Amino acid sequence: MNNYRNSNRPGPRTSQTIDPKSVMQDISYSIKTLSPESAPLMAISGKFGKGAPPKGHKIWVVQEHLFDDIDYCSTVVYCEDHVAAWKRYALLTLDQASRPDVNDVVYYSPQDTLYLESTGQNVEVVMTPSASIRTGLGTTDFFSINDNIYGGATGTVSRTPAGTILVRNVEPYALRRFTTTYTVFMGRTIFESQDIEATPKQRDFIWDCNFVEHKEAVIEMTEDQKSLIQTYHKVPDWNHQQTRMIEEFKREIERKTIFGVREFDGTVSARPKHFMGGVLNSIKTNVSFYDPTMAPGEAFEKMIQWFMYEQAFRYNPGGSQKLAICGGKFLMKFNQSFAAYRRTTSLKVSGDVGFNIDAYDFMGNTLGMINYQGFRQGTPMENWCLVVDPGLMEWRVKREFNTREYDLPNQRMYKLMTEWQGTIAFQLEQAHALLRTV
Amino acid sequence: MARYISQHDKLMLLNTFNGDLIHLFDQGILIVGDPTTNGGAANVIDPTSLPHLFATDLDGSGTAHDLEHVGLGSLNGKDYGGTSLAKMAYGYRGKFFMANPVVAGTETILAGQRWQVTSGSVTYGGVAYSRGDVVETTYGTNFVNVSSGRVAPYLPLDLVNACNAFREEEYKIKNLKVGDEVNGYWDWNTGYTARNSVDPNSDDFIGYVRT
Repeated sequence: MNNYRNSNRPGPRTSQTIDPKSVMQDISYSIKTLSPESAPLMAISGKFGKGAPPKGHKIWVVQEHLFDDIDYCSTVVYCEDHVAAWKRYALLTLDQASRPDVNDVVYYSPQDTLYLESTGQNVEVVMTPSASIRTGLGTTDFFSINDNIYGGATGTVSRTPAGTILVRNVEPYALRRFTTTYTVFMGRTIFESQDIEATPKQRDFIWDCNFVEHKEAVIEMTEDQKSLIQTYHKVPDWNHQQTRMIEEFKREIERKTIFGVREFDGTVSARPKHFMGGVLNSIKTNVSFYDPTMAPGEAFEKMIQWFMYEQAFRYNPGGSQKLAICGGKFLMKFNQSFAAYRRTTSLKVSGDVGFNIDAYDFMGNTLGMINYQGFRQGTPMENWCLVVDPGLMEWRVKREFNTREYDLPNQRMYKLMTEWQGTIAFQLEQAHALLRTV
Repeated sequence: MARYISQHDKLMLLNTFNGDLIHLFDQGILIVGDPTTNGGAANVIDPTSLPHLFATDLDGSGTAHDLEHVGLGSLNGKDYGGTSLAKMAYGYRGKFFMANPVVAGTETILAGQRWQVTSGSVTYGGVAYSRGDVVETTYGTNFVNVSSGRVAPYLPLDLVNACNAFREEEYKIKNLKVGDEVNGYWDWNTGYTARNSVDPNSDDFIGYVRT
């Protein structure tokens, strides 16, 4: 081992003869990041409203679906087919589809009138499974008839079979023929000074719920890594790890708001786990599937228009403006569908080449369109289009990225935990819609 | 006619070639064709112009089933008579299902199926059901027709997108009519206890806990 170590030597000095250790490396400390997402993370969740913190693990929303006076007659029995004289009468089966929980009970009562869409005639309800129409003022003056007029075999009856009503043309003419028809309910018509004896009607709310989910993320670092080791990061490694953890954690929560499924898990006794439901799971009504190989063009635009007419804007309790959260390929095809419009003179291109549709107006409704990278490019989800009314979604958050350092007294490890606890209240899922592929 | 049901109340069937709407499920139900006539080409969904949602023959039979390509599923369970992945995928993955009503008492029932009363009234296992009620069959006996009763296949529980936090309880209350079963119990000694792990008749039992 030498005790003195000079390195003087003859020869020209070049970049190859220099001690490599003494050469400064040119490193750009402007560290560029590559995200799996082609566009920055959209703060979709920022567009939702914010409500009070939840008061328990389960939040309820209450909705009222108003009475739908349109009904559908799926079966008709013409009385004249059984007894020729009864040309004004028919036995109808009304589906009462808008009242699925209670349609085992006929809603209509004697003296109610209905408009028959397919014939243009008005009919009056004469007999139902629970009542029959008055034929006089006496206590027993109610309509009864041999049920052979509609093919029955019981004899004289004053009630119709379950789920049916006997109706009579209001005019003194025969009922015109139809196979099925929509009906419009026009309420009860009484005769002069008739006693008050209408059948009372009652209404109820319907309920929906979501669970409050508790989420967490942590980082751990040794004392040396945190306070001794220097890195090329602009900020200390601890801060860098912390920043990334928060970013990823926010994204996890955002994904939950879209993809989550509402469920409860009681596996751990007395420590229930709750899963928050997301938008996709909450949409029960308006969902459609299309072929992703469908070419852009007029047909593609027409498909969107049908989607808007029948689903996205079928119910608009929050107004006529909604947000379309689109996969990239869907958005591209939607833009390509308007390629011909680029040649119109009214379009201001101002040196920009291309075409950007960020809002689509149709029938007085406006669909704002954004590219959502949760529907990731390269996956089938790039073809999806989720339409939401942000005004009908409300954050209910108890813990909003609370962070806490935690450790045990005998440990030197640095530990940091961030947590989020909350849920989303979905109101009226009928206002949202999803167009997707399988 | 043919009757189809879907887990989505307003499922659209769109023409692949010109984007037009061909069929629209309303309240989860689609009736195709003349309701007074059964069968016939015009009385079922015509898959000719509908999008092929599934590129492969999902039932694993090896033959092209166009209606399966466009989304017809099977209510006979996830396994369509086989164990291959393709066969397992068939069934509930479908987007709609054929559910023609039949006169109560004439249906072919297996245990564990779900049927909906579509008209009239019926009994099953001695319990009366009327239109709209859903019955999960527990044994292979048929419905008893009480009055104009017709029944049709219905969606399995995991395809019904209702308030599923308590869907089992809701189902029992509405359809089995056996009361308010719950997910757990609470007593003075242990607090919350999962269902089936405590005797609700014990002295300590206080009441139930909903999820």
